[in-house]
Amino acid sequence: MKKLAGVFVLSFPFLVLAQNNCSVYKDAAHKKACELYNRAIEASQGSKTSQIIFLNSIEACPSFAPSLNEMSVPYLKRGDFSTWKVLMDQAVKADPQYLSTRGWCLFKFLRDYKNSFQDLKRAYDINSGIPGYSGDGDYDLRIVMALNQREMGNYNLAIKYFNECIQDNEKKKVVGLFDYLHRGVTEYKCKNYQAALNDLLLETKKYEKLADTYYYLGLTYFKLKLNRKGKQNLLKAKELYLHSGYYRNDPYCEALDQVYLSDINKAIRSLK
Amino acid sequence: MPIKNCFFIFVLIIFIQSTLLAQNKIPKAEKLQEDVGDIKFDPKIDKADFYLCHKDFIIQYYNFGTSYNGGGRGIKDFIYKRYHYDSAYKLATGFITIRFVINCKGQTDRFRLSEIDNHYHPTTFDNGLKRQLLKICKALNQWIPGKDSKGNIYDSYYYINFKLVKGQILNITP
Repeated sequence: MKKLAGVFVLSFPFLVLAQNNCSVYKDAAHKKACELYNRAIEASQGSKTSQIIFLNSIEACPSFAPSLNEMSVPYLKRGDFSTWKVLMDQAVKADPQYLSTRGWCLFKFLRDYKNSFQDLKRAYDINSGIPGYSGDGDYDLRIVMALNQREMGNYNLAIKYFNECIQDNEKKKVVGLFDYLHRGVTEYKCKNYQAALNDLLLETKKYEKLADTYYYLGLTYFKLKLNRKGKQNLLKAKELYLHSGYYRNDPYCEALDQVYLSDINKAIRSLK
Repeated sequence: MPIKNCFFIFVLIIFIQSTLLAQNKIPKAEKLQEDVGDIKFDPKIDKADFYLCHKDFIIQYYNFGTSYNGGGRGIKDFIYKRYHYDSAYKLATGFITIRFVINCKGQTDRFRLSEIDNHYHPTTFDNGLKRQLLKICKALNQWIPGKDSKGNIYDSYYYINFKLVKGQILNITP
């Protein structure tokens, strides 16, 4: 279990909900909707009890976005994307700040890079270049914008968003846990192997025992003709994966640039 | 324009509007299940002898790490190796989601399929395509049931979502 803990724990903020302070609402409809929201989140997520209270909340105030958003979540997690989208669209219509949430979910659960980017770009524009953080807390959403662009094949635009976000967060000393890894992998895909190496080495300082990074480091060293270091890093990736380290393993979805043991073994086998 | 044609267009507009409205409504209280995503036993399509450790308590795959041998990569490799494109699928752009139960022994049943277009509206894809994807999902046979920290093993729900573009599988989640 130790192997999973590093990332597993980080993924659960998605489930942790705080009670809203309903006294901030001045009108009776919002206040009532808010109180019902607070009751709904106390019941088990996705249960009939919880969903009915959310419906009551929405009935009290049809534009109460927190209830629309929260009611949508179990549909998303359980693969009913049509119902999720209906609720989420209404949340966004009621409060455009939910563009960030919808964009993140389109990226994570549906790999809908085009629509995810559109939402996040709108959130970026509305919020003066700061679209917020992902639901699981792992990402500044500018990183997700970069990944969306990369997956659509727009590498230059991807690097632009990576650089903007990382440079900004380096100044604030809040660089994300996987930011250098993703930019490094992107540079690798662009065949900029020296830039990839620089980022992947930075990632090892950020997250010392992440097997995924050493796998990509190994591949990068081979491209730079540093075969001995390449082999060392692949073996280290395997050792970390199996014994003393961590690997990416989100409980909901496969992460982008996630490495499997089969990838590491395949790379090691190709050396022989 | 003849009156007959005007009437036809009028009916068509009403039909399209009512379809769109139907697609854009939030769930009704009377239609809610005990838990979102529950799959009830259907004797017409489900195995009567499908064993469940806890008949009334089926968890979600993400609760206690229900997985597949080789993880998501194992599932994808299995599917991509077996999927065969057919020109009859060329209009299929959107998502097909297959949800099912993995029991405490790692066996599967209660498969349900849903289909939406790339605007997330319900749609209908080619039957052959749906049959093929269902057959492949049913053939996946290396499931690892969910287990809590005390070693209790659970039945769980899982889904496989296919992102399709013109009948080709562009991505598989989760």
